[in-house]
Amino acid sequence: MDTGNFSEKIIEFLDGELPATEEPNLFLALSVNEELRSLLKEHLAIARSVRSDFNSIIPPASAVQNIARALRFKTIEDAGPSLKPLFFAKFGRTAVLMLSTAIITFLLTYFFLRPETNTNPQSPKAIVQTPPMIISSVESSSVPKISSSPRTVYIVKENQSSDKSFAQANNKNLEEIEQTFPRPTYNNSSNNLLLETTKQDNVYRDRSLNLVLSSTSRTKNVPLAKYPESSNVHSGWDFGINLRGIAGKSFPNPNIATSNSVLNNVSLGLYFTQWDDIKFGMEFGKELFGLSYNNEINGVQFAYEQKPALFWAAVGVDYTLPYSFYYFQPFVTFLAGGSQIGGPLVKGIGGLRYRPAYSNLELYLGAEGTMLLYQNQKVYYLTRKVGLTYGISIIF
Amino acid sequence: MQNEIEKLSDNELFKLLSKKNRESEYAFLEIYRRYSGRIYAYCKRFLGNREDAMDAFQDTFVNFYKAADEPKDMTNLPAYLLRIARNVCLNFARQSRTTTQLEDYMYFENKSDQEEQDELLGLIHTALQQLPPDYREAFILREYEGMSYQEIAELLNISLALVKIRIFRAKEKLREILAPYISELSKM
Repeated sequence: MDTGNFSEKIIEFLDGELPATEEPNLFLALSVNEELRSLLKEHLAIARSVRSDFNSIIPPASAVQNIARALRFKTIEDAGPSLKPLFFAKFGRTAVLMLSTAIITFLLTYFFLRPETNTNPQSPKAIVQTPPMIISSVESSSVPKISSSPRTVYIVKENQSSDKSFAQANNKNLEEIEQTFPRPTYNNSSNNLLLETTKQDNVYRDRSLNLVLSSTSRTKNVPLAKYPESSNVHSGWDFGINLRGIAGKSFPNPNIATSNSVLNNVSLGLYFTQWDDIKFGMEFGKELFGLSYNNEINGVQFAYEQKPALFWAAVGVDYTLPYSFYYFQPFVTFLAGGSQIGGPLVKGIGGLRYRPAYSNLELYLGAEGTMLLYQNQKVYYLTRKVGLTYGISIIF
Repeated sequence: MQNEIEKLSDNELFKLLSKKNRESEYAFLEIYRRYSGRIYAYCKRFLGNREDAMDAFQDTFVNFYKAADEPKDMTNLPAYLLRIARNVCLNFARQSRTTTQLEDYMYFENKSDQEEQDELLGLIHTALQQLPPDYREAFILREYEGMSYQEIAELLNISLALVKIRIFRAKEKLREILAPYISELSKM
């Protein structure tokens, strides 16, 4: 029997091309020839696999865009991925307003409302705000004593003489005879600076009554704000600028080559220290996000995968935990905002800060998680990112 | 407008292409919707790698649109597209001759039926690349495009007998390449 000839007929039979008149001969040959039956099985296995593969190949979604660009189509480009900068379109004006307000506030506070500082080595930037008790007495038997209750409260600034305007402000007829105000002393114990009692007689002459008034100024023991020994002491309007890099993995993570440069994964932030351990601020960044979404063009659903470097902006709060180990302190930051293609975008960061003594620089390293919700053709998609963040802050 | 376009026949759509206006773009999109899958599959199977297939696929549709410069009758649009795709793929195949060792693709483990099927498909794709281009082309048109021997003969502009020979030799060659693996898989 000519196996080769029958092999050809098997293929024609499987392809439906074998004339009906030749089928009986083929069946007869198959019934008696084991080798032919093996051939048939092998061809059937291949044919079965090939046919199961019919719908498994779909052109990449970007192909139609590339073709449209090559042919300079207007229609397809219009119908293409509509990941427009929703965030900036919707909230751009608000973001600009917020930023302008922040800049103006900063300039005003920095140049006009910035508290004075001194050079006391024990507390480099401390500003003691303490209300001295003013007790007055009259050295004349003909005039009743003036009440010993506090007449006024004024601010005593460390290392400065008392405010000369005090007397004039409270009684224009008072003429200063003698006015001294010794520098307060401090007791530094267990991180608490204690302003120790000071006592001073200020003597004034009342011109109208021709009396001599004596006022005694006292200050209470005032515990000053507690700071880590090595840290600088900040006022309520300190601010810092931080620059940080982000190294993260995106989910979804399309296998698309990108320029994963540092500049594509970076963030710049401005934070104000509201309290000792809590800062508020805002950050602007650029970061690679893996996107996977569907787009309908002319009734056809195309699956898109992209990995663009998106701009984002967020406001944030930063909390430094009350623990320290040498110069390391743990912190957590929470950011909420939006991105170039929409939002919301939320970020959570936790890590360690390192701030050497008497330094205005901070280094930090932490873990970061991000969630970005974006919309395309009225459908929401979520991209998550996890990774590391590292950076530097300059405290002013 | 899209609804109206969808109702048009291939021939009517093709005639619109020559207008080179917004209407022709919609017509092109409709043709793309109808046949992009087939053409991409053809390119992918013919060339064997994704990058070349993607380029060939895009070139096919770009050439197709550019060539449609007069409203002539089109009796078999998919065949026409396939012919363009074939020429593009042949050019690509001439430029890049990549070979893949079948052995590189093989690994035997305990697998489910679906995994076996997928593995066999992978083997077939790899084995296809080892066939001479004429045989591979005939096999793809027959097995994947579902064209009859006569249609293949018309598309390739060769005789029916030559189509039979190419398909037979392609399948025989494939079977020879894959036979050891098929029998190995059937034992597991």
